[in-house]
Amino acid sequence: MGSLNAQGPPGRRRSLLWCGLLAACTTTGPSGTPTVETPGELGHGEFVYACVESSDPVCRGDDTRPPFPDCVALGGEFELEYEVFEGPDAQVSSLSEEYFQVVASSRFRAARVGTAAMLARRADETVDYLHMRIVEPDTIEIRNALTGSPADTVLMRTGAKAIFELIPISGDCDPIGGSLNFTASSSDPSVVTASSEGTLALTARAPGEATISVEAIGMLHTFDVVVSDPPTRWPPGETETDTGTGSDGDTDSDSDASGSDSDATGTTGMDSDTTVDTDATDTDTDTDTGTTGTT
Amino acid sequence: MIITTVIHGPLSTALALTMTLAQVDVQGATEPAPATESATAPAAEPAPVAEPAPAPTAAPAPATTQPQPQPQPQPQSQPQGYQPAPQGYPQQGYPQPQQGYPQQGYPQPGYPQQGYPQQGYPQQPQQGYPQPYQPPPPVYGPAPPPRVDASKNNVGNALLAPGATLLAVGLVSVVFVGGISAIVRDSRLSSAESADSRADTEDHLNGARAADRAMRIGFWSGIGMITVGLPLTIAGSVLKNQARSGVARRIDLRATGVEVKF
Amino acid sequence: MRKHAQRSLALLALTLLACTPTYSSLDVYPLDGDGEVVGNTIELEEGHAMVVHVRPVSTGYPSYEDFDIVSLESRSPTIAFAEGAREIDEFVIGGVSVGTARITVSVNGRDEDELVVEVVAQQESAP
Repeated sequence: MGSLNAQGPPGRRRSLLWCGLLAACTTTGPSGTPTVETPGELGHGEFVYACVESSDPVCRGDDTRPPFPDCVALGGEFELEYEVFEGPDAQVSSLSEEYFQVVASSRFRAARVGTAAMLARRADETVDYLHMRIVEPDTIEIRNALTGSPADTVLMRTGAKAIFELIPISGDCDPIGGSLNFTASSSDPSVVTASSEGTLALTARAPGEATISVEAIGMLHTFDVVVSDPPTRWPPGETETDTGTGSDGDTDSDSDASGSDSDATGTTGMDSDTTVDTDATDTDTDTDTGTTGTT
Repeated sequence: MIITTVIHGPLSTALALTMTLAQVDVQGATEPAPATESATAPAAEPAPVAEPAPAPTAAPAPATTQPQPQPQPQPQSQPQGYQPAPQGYPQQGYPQPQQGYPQQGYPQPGYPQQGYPQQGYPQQPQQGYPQPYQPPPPVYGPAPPPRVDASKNNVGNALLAPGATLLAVGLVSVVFVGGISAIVRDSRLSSAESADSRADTEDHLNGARAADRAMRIGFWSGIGMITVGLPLTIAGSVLKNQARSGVARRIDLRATGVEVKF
Repeated sequence: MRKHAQRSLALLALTLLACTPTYSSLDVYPLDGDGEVVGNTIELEEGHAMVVHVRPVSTGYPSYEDFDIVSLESRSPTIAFAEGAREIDEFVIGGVSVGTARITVSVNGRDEDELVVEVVAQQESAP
């Protein structure tokens, strides 16, 4: 696409044409994630699924056009809208609040395992509907938002910040949709703090060890975090790897470890060599100097 | 097809009623004249007054309604003064005493002419006596029935006026109310098919149903008016023509629920 | 004469009344969804929706026309959902919660009949 846009006006027209054909260029969800559509069962329009958070498995991955989720994780939230082919707009509502609770306008939470219909309604008329399955995930994986590596034991350096996502996994259906609500706590907030606003964010405060507890849909997950002081200089031959994703989605590597002070880096995984995004330019290691890119 | 069938039924009914009326009329023409007319007529009256209605085989009603002056010559023995007409007057010649006097406007030949005494009788006293004219005494017994004017035939008009009104209103109802409502109904139905929402569709369908109801009411009430008005119009026309021809008849329209006497 | 006129008017009124269909029964059959329709009874699972076609049947002539509007209204919306679909004779029936609900069927705004919706619990869905 980028290449098409770089071709000037004719190329832009061609780009618009492709966008019109693919209908994927301008459809983004509330968090900037792509939306996916599927036709209603009555064929009068399309249901448009949008991820509430980037942690929604539907919106993860490299697919620019992810498939419509076969099912939604129990407790998962998502947004669903309806685009009618003809006539006035229709609003999506839940047939049974026991299955899909209405969180906000066009935002729903899967509340009960089973299958339930989402209705596209307008004044005294049900234009279309869509049955969606709600499954209980087999497990919930906690993965680094940047590297995708699972969070078993996390190594962090003081001042670093790391972002994690809770990914519901089900063997019944793939992909499974829904952003899970969860609660997170740290056994030692002086070492590492945890916040659970959409994503799990850990901030290393001081060297030490702590246990992070995450509870989602009744499942409790724990993992350890080891925070250490950053080295004053990089070992010979070792360079910092920036795995942050730019706007083009490419992964680039740089070695901008400039200055004598070390960059605050977050490290995930046991003995992981991967350092997380450090474009920090300040030298104060006591403050939050690491910035972690988010999707 | 349905409309043709639907129209055909009432019109057939109207036609049947008309035929029934015509039959009644013909049958009425064969009936004898009212007994009062012949019974009260004095024997000395002129033959036309005393004569019964002509037999159906000998003189059908239409024939008797044409009292044209006969070219037959007046009998030689005709006196100057008043004399009763000979009994042997031929029927065709009954107006002989009044020959030369037009009888237009006298549809009932059995009634004495009002101008008769002034035309035929006064000649006797004038003969040789220069006396002023004195009308002869009434010698016709009871007073003659009122003169019937064809142009003022109340029964015919009484049938013709409402009949024509019903017919006209019925036609207007069928054509304008029924026809236009049918057009509106079809238009609303087609609009309902292309409506964007169910609410719009229901609006159009409600309009179509209202138009259909108006169409049914307009059509059937119009057909009913035509069914009633057409025989009335025909009957009124027939009666008026008959009255104009000078034939008094009793028409029993029991078949149509209307009984007319005159 | 007046009696005859009254009879004629009565005949005309009867003729006009005879031009409107007289409700006899309902013709209900499923169009979409997993529910079952037997007569005037619909059975479907909780949380499921289906589309049924509902048309009134007249006792004789004349029959119901396209512009005769059928509408459904659930007496127990917490158990069964009923609402018109995009097409005029089609309706979406949904099972909200387990139970039995009655749906009033009206033709041209006049209540004529009712449907019975039995909402049953969902069975264990196979993977």
